[in-house]
Amino acid sequence: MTRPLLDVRHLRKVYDDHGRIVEAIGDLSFSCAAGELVAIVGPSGAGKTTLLKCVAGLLDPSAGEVALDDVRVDGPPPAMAVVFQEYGRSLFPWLTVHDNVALPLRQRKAARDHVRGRVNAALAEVGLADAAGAYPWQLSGGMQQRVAIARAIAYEPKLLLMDEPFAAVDAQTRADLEDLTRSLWRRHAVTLLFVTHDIDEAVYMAQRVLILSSSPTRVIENLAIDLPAERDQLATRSSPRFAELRARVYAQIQRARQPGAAGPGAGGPS
Amino acid sequence: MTAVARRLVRVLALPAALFALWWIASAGSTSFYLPPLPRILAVFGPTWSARLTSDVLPSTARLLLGYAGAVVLGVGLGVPLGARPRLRAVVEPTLELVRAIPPPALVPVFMLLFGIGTPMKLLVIVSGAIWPVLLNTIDGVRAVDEVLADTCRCYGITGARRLRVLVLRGASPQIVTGMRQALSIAIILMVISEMFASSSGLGYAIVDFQRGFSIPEMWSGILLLGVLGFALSLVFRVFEARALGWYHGLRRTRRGDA
Repeated sequence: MTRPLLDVRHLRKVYDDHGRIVEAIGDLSFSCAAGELVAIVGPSGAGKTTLLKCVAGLLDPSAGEVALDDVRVDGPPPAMAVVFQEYGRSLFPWLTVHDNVALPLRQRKAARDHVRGRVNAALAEVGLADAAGAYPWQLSGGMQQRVAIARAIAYEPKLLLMDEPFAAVDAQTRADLEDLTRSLWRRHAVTLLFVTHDIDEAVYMAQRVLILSSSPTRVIENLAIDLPAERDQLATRSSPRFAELRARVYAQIQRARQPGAAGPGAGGPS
Repeated sequence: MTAVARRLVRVLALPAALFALWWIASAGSTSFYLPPLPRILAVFGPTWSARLTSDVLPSTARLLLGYAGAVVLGVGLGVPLGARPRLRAVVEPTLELVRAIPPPALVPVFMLLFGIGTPMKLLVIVSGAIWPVLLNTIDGVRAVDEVLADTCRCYGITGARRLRVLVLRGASPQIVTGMRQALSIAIILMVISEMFASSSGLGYAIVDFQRGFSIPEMWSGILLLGVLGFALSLVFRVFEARALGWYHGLRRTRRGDA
């Protein structure tokens, strides 16, 4: 077996909420190989965002560890980029679209011409070559999220994390962004870990779906998605295999939502 | 009529009307203390062109220097206080206490310690004008968006660039609000500091005219202060439009969505 790029081992996260102990993540282990596209789904309140923040190094786990490229994560690693759900709050409203994408590259002290080239290429890839001089708030929600994606791509991360990236846009935009994200993932050979509450989206996008239990969170199933690599909003979503996989994930999540159903051995890879 | 001209008329209509009212009401005045407006205007030019270098420019220079000092100190202290809750908890009660002292009450103290020269006057201006800048900066820095802060952490944006791109720009709407309030306080304190034991400046000149019974000249000094304040607030508006263009645009879009 090849060495995983991302390794999450016995991760546990406990909050102290004014004296009340809240166990957000119970005991969670999984790994991602380099170049994989993995979706994480779970019932609402399953600590999906907490998990992603621990992986990103934005939160310290209470126990267990996250390793990227065999290096323990204790702060955001340099080879990682994040696309947040709240696109309106993750782009700097006082910077133009171009400067938003360029900012992380400038921090790396890249040469000026190099930065401009990379920014323009990234904006062209997400279809926003003409919007470089605009401010984020002058764009629609879907376009703002494209800017955030362009910023992540221009950064050339090994690991790209996305936290419910399309939850706040309309259905058509969402389908476009799903296909855009998949095509960028294939072209850039990046490892993509993405959290969603949308079962269809998880099955449509991913090579593998991790199904989480409700809090305290564990992985109840690690489901390989054996759909063809070429995916199409119409053909893929209407295929019988898609329906089977979708039904399986749905059933698991329904089970996870039952109180007390998330005992040890409730699932596991089948 | 163009939009600009229409706006100009809207802005100037009320001041013009009040001025006309003053003119008419004071026209036949025989009161020694309330001279007719034309007499005040007649002494305006000669009085202040003679006192330009001795009073008007020194006052303006002190005002701008004191104001700049208040802004630099207010932002410089407000950023660490806004960013560090523990530091804030230690310092904030003391700040509230010191802030409660009216700055004019400090003039006699500053006179004893620093004499009656320019340093004392600058200190009076700074000690009063710093508060709105400091308190608004603290609020603005505290309210910097968490998601933006996380974004900076993820992309390794730290140090001076983080301060410039995230903290100062994020807090800039509040900082500018504080700066606007501080400007009018600075003008008031400039005048007050010159009314005590001084030998130059607009505040000194106004008191000097009053004591010498040069009443039209005294009134013209008050008029000049009004004009000075108005001109500075116009300059400030231009600055604000440039610094906060993004903020007003963002708010307009949000209102449009709602």
